[in-house]
Amino acid sequence: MGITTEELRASRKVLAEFDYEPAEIEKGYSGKSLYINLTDLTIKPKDITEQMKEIFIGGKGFGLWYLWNAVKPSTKWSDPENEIVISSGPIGGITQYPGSGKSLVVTLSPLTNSVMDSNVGGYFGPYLKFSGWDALEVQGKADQDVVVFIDGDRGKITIEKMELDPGASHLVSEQLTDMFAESEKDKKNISIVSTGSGADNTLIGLLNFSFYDLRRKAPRLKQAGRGGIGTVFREKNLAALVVRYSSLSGRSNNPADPSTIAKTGVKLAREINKFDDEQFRMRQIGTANLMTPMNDYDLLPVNNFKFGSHEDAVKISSDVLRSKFTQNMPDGCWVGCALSCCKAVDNFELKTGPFKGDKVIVDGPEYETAAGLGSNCGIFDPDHIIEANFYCDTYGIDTISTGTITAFAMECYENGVINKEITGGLELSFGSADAAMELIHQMGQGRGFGKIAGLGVRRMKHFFVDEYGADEAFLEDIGMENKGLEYSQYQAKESLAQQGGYAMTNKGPQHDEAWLIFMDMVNKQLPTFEKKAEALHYFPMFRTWFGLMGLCKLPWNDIIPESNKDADRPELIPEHVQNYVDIFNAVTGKQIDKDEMIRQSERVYNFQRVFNLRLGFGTREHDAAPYRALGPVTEEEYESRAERYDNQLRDDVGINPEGMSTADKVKKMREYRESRYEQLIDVVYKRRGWTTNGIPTIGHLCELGIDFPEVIETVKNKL
Amino acid sequence: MVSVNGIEIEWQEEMTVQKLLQIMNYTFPMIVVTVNGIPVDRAQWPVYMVPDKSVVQAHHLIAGG
Amino acid sequence: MLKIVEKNEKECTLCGACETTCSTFYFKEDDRLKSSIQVLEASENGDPVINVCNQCGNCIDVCPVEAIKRTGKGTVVISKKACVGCFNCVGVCPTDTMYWHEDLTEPFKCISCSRCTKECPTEAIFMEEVATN
Repeated sequence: MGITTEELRASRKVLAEFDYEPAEIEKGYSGKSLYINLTDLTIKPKDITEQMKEIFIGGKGFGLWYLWNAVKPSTKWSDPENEIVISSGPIGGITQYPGSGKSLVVTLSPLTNSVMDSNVGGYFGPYLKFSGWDALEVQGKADQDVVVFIDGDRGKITIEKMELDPGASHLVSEQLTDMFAESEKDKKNISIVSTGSGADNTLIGLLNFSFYDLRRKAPRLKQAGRGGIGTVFREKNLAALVVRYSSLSGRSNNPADPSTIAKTGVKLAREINKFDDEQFRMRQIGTANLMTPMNDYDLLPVNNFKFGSHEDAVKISSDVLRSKFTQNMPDGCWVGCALSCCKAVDNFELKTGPFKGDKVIVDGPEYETAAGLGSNCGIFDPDHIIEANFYCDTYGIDTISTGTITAFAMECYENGVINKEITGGLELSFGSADAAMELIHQMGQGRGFGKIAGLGVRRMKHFFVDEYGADEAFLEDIGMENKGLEYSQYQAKESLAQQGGYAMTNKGPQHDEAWLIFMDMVNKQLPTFEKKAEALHYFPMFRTWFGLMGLCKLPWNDIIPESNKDADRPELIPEHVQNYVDIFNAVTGKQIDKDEMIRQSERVYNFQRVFNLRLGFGTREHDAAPYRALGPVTEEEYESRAERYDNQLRDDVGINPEGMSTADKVKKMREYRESRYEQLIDVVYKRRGWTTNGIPTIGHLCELGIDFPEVIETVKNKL
Repeated sequence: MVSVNGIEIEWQEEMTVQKLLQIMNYTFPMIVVTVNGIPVDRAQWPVYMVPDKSVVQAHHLIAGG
Repeated sequence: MLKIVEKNEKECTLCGACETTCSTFYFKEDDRLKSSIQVLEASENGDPVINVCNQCGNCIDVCPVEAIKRTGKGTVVISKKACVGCFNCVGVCPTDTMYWHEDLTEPFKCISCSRCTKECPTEAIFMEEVATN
């Protein structure tokens, strides 16, 4: 059915080309970025200014700055002037410190209509930089499907058309790796960015970034999953981005002080080797190690976030998933990552869909995928999760959004908001694995009810209200989205701090800004609003920093150093924070400390907030959370944890629940929780230097040094 | 009564740290325990007795996905 | 049969001949920190500690670019050309004998060349055949 490599090669037609001398990397930067316009096929270099390095650092910072300059306040995600910007960061591409090969992707999102950023592994970002480009901007819209090829070895960029079917990402990655590699050995020097037909047919399209797995002899895929970036990619008629770079060495990033990087990296690699097996077992299970503890602590989303645990969760426990991984080798998404959290299921025989009967490699499932496609839909079948994971990836749709969308549709179905007639025969009740799988195929292929589901929870709510007269208030309560983005897979009801960690984010409810549930709910380390607000300042700033550098968050706190037991603030993992300061200084030759580290992030974080504002968002109303994320919406939920909630009414709210109806208790609980959330917003905004409407004050922006005229003007208009 | 991370639970005879963590369903692999401010090594959990009226901190070291 | 450097630490006089031989041959300088056999003074029983690779091969599996291989003779060797200097191998080495040095981009290790054993004045180190699995 597929085209052969030779046929594909023969079909290549170069539409535009550009020769260049790859810039030497100096202290983590090439000093150049690559601009491509697909409308008029422009390919041109730009200089990275010292100001950009100073203020925006790299990665997501560069992405935001370029996008800011590319779009107007009125720009929509589908307008040609929208850009996809990919950049790693100054630390990105070092091989000595685990987790140093990330790419950050920034664009205007079809889900939120505002700024989106996503952090992804695979080799593309580092290879792009070592090919001479700190960042890649893609603007415009091609009139036919095109592939962009950046050959860092030859110093040549081409925009090409070819007979490539962009419908299935795993095949696109394989075919392009085969074709662009000049030999079997050269395959590891290729990285592909691609997506699948789901990106054409939904608003939750993702980008797969490949890396070649030498031992499996196949490209593996890592996902820039959130916010529909793949949908923008296909809107531009991009079929794939390809980079080739064959001279990777321990000095490719040409750091100022390689010795410190090596010393710090070896220290962490030894630590991982010593402690990982007794700590989080990242090397054995990856992030799926969270399945069992999340269920044990009532935090695993079940049935559209109604509940936090389920008796059948044991069927998809950490160890069950581990038994599915054919893992007897280190598996990292960038070379040198000793934490090696990538996982794969080999020779998985697909039971459904266009590749039924094929034996494939499935990357993952990761925690979010297993919780989203599994427990949150009431499905406790590991093979279903693996199959759904495969199809989401190859169709190019986000597993997190897919999970939350499906769970929402199921709750709507069970409540009669939608029925079999509307779903085209899909019996979408919780636990219906076959219907859930069929819905993924429909989304991937743009058929039936999948066309509605693929619009995301926010638009589904509006659609169900407008078309089917659904109870709007109920759908607003149970539709787990904020800013238009679907929630990621943690139950936040019992952690006020995490409710803020989700809904007071820049891009929408993804836990990459802050994950405070255990600190708040279990350890009780954040008993006051002030303490919660401090955490909601520090952690989002600290974690933003990874995205400026080309780093992964996992080696920060998914391995705990011995020194931590004597640390004053163990939750910060002080030794690892110092590692990052040391590595940044060793790469760039600068001299920052851990306070300046937070400052670096604060500049970019506030800039992103103002960017949201400029696009018509970024104020308090956009930080509101659906009540399902704050507390029990229904009597069923209340009753399922009645003792807990009754105690809270008595001890925290000061109401005696005896003799009250469940409906009354739900109402009182809601008043209490919603008012607490509002109080939290007040305190957090203050701590972040924002007005009570969530707008950064002019003084704060000046202090941060991001008082560019257009920034100040944007803010002034909204104050 | 014993206070565990601010939650009051009934004290029992022969209540070891391990027993206490079981009662709380604290299954997480990375927990640091102090009993009345004194750190208790994991190896000691099966034998270390928690006195009545103790204040126990079971600090879970995790910051999520 | 695989030959490895075996040791009789009691006999070691800490003369440093092995380290000089190794680093001079492979790195053209006399720097014990660039030797693939390194001798430490103290141990619990008072004897010196001689650290040299036993060719166990744990490092082979963790190399992300398959730069570490076992030769036909059973010795574990690093291809400097293929190595990307990540030091994952250093991290997992159970005997701490995958070495790295701040001047060098790639790690280095003993390849059982036997040169050091020939220079040892007290036969504290010697080549011995061991079974391979």
